[in-house]
Amino acid sequence: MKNRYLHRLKSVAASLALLAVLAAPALAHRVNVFAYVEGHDVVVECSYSRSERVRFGDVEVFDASTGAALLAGKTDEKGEFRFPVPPAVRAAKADLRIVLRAGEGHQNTTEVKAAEYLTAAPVAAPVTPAAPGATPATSAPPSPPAAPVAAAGPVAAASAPVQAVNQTGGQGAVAPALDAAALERVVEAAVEKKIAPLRAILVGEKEKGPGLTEIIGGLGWLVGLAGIAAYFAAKGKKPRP
Amino acid sequence: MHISEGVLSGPVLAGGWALSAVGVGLGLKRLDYDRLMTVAILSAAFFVGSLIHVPIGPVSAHLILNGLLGAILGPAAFPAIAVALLLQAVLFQYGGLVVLGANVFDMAGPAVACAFAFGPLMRRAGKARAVGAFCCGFFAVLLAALLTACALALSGEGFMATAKAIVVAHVPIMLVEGAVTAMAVGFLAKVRPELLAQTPTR
Repeated sequence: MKNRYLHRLKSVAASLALLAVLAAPALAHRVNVFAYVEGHDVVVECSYSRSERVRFGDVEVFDASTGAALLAGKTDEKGEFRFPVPPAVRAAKADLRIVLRAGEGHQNTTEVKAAEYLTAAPVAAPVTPAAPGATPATSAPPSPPAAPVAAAGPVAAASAPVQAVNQTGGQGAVAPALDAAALERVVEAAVEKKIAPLRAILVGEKEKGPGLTEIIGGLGWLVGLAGIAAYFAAKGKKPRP
Repeated sequence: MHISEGVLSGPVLAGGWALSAVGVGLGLKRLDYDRLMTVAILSAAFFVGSLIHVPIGPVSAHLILNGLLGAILGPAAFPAIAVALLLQAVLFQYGGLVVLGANVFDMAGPAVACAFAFGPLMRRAGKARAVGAFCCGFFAVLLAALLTACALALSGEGFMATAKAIVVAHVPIMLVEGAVTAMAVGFLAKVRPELLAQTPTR
């Protein structure tokens, strides 16, 4: 008798656990998909409203202008999907349209503009040939540090003090390591670190449910519509639709 | 259970719009204008209901309330749900404007069907009324889940897997909605019986 009761209790617990696993996707109002560029990769973050992650949702990437399918994949446990921008796309400067299909009728899209990934890794092409050489000679023939600074433009110019400090330190060997490309990478990493919390705020903003404004606004609409209907109903029997 | 934009195929979208248009038309035709405010208030309840999350064990579910609207409004539940879903689509981005037709039929169709099916039971007194109201709330959600799965299946997603996922996830809500509808109908029957008098096939 007691055994039977225990068995029943177990099956109830099991079905509750099953519910917990299955419930989240089907109960969501909508899914959010948020994409950003990190270095050479595009990172896609997928969540349901109220910050439940989309685990193993299908992500497809299209060329936004031609509609051609570029690649597809699944999100991981954290609702993230990361892919490098294909070289062909980079060359064509195509915008990316990212479609998330989370199942049970939940789908959303987002776009990554070409400008985003092009500016995120602006020296992608020159860096690769420079890296194997490991000497500043390949990128700029004259070895004095002043020349690459002038050539690399505002980013390198802004970091001139860094170089100066290093040189006053008396370490001549540091100078070649801090050429334009390396500096670019350092700056990028620093900016990435600074931006991360901002990005989290943006994602959180998207995941938030509707605010009080929308709710009250909706209720106002309903009252207004009922008022309009009542007005026409009271105006006489003739406009009865 | 809001189906997102771009999931359903063209014919399903068109079918949803056609069925919803018929439902809204019939609902408006049957609507007694003395009850306009009741319709508006229940539409508001439906509009806000999906924002109320009820923790049930490990899951948090939100109310749908389509059974309650059916029980009280009868066919007028159709326009009430249509307007509420339209506002949810515009203001909250739940669902979308193109799929609105399908979403309205998925929610309002079962509401009206259950109102017709359990109406006679709900107009009796005592336990029969409570049972009828509970069934109305329970089956309205169940049918809505099945219709949603149908719409998705007709657009390519496998029916059984989708239906199972949606129905299983909504079992707690079915129970809660059944209880809520039973309580509301019981309360109204005691306090404002004239509100319930207009359930269909009077």
